[in-house]
Amino acid sequence: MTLRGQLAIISIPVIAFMLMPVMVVLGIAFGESANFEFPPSSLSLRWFYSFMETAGFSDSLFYVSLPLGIASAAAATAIGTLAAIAAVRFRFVSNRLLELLFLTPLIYPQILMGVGLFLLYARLNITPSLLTLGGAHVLIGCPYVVRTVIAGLVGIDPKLEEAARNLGASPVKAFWLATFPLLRSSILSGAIFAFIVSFSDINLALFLSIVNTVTLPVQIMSQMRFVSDPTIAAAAALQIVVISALLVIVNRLIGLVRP
Amino acid sequence: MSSVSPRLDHPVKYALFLPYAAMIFCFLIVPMAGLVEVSFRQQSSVRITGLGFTLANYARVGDPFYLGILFDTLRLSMISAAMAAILGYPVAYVLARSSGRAKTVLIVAIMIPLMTSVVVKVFGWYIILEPSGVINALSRAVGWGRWNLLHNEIAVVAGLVEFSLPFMVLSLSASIERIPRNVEEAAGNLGAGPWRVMARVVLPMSRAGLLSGYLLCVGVSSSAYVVPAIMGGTRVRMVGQQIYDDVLVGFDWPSASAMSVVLVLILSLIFYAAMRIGPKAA
Repeated sequence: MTLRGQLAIISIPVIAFMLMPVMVVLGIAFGESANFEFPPSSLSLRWFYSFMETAGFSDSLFYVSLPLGIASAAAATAIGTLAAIAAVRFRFVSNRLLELLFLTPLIYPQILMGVGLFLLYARLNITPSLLTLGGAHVLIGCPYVVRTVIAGLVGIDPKLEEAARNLGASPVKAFWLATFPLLRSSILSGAIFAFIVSFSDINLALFLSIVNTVTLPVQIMSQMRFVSDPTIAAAAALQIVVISALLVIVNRLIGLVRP
Repeated sequence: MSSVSPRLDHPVKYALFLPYAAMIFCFLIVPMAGLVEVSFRQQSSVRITGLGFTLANYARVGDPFYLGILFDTLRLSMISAAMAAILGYPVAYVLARSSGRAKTVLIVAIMIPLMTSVVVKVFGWYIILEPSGVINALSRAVGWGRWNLLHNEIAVVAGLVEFSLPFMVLSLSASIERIPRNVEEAAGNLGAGPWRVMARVVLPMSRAGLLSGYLLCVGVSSSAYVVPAIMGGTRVRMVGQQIYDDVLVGFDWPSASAMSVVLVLILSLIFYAAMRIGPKAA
């Protein structure tokens, strides 16, 4: 048997371990039983109805997490796209330094970003709101946009833009008419990643969300200790379903294999 | 990133880059500077950001109790990262050497746990391990009784390993992909069996990915809060929990700041040392 075949067999339990918590959450949420039975013996959507009827959960999804994710993804997409264009098309003092700057929000411990901002807002007397949490979400979403847009830009044939220039278009117009339309799926994919990052964030929201801006992950975290029925599993399952669906869309748009 | 079209030099580049730079400045650099400043202040009940100047907060980090927390944090993170490397290597190899549909399915299976909120995954672990959870239901069914599986180091390590695995697999497979397949074939043609090819060719040639994956995992684990807080309870304590409690429970901001600064320094030091002595990353 080939090396790949042997390692594939070893990989199966590892992948099962990786997916186990996600599978258990889905199983409990879509199961009929109220006793956290896994695997479920019969399926039902009752815990999702219960989720919708529980104000704490449905409010945090519809009035906090979704608008927050959409708005911060939009801002991160604009900021990240501009920065990516600058990095690919222009010469900077050090393009390595630029790469480091694009990496920083990814590797800087999020919990420290949360503490730092919490202290800063308190010091400046800024009342925490969706805007103050959103700002932080924009920053952690940017690197994903930058990455996908850079990958998209590098893959576009520069001859298209040259042709537009030769036909008399200004540099900006040539970029806008020849290159930008080809960049749309990369930009959309970056936006989806930025949304997911905001939608699943806990480390920043833990410090920056207050009573009326409780995001879905924070709600799940705070209810976990008082868990009485699988409504909370439905909340967690919604996260998984939304994120998985979005990943499938990204895969259709640009392919996850070469992110 | 290779420059496909000739790189331009025009002042407009600063305008394009400015919004991102402003975000980094406002949401990363300024808060970090604030942490450093507060870490030198005395805790005070009149001003929450502290008064005067003191080194006492750093002296507290040297106290055996807090030193123990730092030590446990690094110990658990390093164990988890090592286990993630061992478990993740076969998956990374299969991913790197797959193509087409198999590769897409594999990458989705890795991306879903990567992008799902850590809270959701920890909740999954919670219902697997808790006293009336999935494992205990099985255990009671076969007559083994009830076990307390949460709130110990093994539970925390399991959570951290699961949390780190996707990072490890992606980092490793990027570096395995760069090894030309014909190098493996050549070793095979010269008579090496599959495991010998693995040990003598693939493993040494993917050292850079192994190192960067390991560091990435130590980094994400040592600043974790949710995993140790839920799976370790009050029995296992890591730096993230201490900082969280100092800020939101004890209102001791100067101490939390000092702990944060120490954590950043330790992580930077580890990364720097590994980059100097480790194999050059490709």
